[in-house]
Amino acid sequence: MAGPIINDATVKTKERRITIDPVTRLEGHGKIEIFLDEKGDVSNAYMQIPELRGFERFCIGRHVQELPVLTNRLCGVCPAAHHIASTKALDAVFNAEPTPTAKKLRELFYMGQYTHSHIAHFYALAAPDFVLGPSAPSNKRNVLGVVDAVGVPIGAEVIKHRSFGQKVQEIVGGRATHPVFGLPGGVSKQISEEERAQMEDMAKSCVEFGKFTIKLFHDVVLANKDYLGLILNTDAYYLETYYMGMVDKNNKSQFYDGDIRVVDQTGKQVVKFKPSEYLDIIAEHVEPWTYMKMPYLKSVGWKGFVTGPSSGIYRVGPLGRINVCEGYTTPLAQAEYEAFRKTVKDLGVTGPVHHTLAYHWARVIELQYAGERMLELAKDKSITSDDIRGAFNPPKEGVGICEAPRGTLIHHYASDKDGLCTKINMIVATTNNYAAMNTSVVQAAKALIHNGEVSQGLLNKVEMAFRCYDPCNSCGTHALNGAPALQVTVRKADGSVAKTLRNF
Amino acid sequence: MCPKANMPCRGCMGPTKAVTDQGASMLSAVSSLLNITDSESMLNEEQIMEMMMQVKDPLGTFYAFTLPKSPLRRTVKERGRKG
Repeated sequence: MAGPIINDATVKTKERRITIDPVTRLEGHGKIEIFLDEKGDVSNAYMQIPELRGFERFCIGRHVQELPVLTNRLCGVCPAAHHIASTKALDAVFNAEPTPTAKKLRELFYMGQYTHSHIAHFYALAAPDFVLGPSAPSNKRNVLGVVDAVGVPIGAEVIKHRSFGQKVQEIVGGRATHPVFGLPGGVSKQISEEERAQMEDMAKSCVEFGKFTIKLFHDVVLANKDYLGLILNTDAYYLETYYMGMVDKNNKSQFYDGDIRVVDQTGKQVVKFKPSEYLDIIAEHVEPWTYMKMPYLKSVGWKGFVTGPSSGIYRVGPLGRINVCEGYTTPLAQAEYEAFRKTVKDLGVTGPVHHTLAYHWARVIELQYAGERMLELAKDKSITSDDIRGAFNPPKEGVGICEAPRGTLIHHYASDKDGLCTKINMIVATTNNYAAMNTSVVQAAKALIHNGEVSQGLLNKVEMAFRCYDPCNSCGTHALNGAPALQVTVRKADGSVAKTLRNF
Repeated sequence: MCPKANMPCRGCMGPTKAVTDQGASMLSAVSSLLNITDSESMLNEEQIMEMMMQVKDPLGTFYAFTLPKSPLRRTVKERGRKG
């Protein structure tokens, strides 16, 4: 296999505006606009999300217990995350405590989701940049090019283990994509001993595949000094932000249940909060040029696309979670977490890792954790118990939070006495990261493009600045409060603006 | 699929070819449960309304995945007629 292509020849452009549309290897749609000044340097850049969904409108008036099935249609990659957050919101709405068996089954199902999603991102979306190189020809820089480079046997293992993640979700959740098993206070389906044993076998294999993936990451990415240089490039891929993620009582990383911890740029805890308190912590900013909102820390405030302690921008997802936690509850993930911390400590980093491309390393550690946790739960023979539904009460209002593969996911519902939804608010993983993603794109564009010199490889390196977040714009643009944003510009015959009308 | 997980089928694959309007078919099925004889209703209008109002969110429930195929809010034209 030929070595990865890191750089390519640039050409000088006289254009003042560079558009990357569509951006690629993400979930959903997006485009990047880069504006150059008269010297050909970047004056500004925007990551625009032109999608419109509208879930927070059409879910009003629906049966609230239907929301885990409706909201999971937000996405085809992480429907399980929406299903879990939604089901936990129903636990709160119906004041229903899930049984121990139901909690275990939900978490087991959720480890299947992480396995499938993290494999999909690392191997299909991110790997082309690392295996083939950021400047490889675009017709090769894709998942088929990766399989061509690493060989069919490895490609088959990737597909097999992603399918294991899907199969676990199907067995427990009823369907691999768009699951249906979540009910207030429990789940709808009991697991048979045969199904448990089948999942145990798949989980064992996933643990081994996690080891393989971590080794591959070390061999292909960390051992390559060009890639290490990219990861450590503080001009292009480095933001000092706040971080958010779920932890247990010992501050170990959790995906299904726990408190939400926020740390500052030095790693000091800012707040640890319960789901019901989220509105005290998070506020949302709206920009006129995009459909996605931009959450920020309420106590710090919105200061624009800037970082540092005075800006409320925070990051979630694998990098957010690894920066707020103090390790993992499973041995192999913990060992790799310690290797991660030691490596960055040797580089002089003692607090949170602000290097944006470190998202990828955190993601493969989480893939290892998901496999190990899946095995722990699948080996527990008590999960075949028929104790899968708890008691529930008349519906009111409640919040459910889980860690989606892409970050903290919040569902908040209210119900009338008939069980019809009267209010719904969702703050989605990718939405949390949007302000930081846009800031990362601006930073990478400014660092990489000078004197109007551009190339396909350089523009892909700008895309790498958002791609590592693994954005899901389909999820993130779930709402727009009813009507599309519309701006009408009335121009005079000479082209000058006479009047501008807009509804946002 | 869903019934295997002890959850009802919501028709998310869309209506079958045999159904023109899935929601109307479901309302028809529900109405067949009402106490109606061959010749005349045993219930007055108010009682029918009260009974039908027990179905909460009929649009979301019966048309969740089929509204785009329904003739609702569409114009039905006679064949060969202009306008």
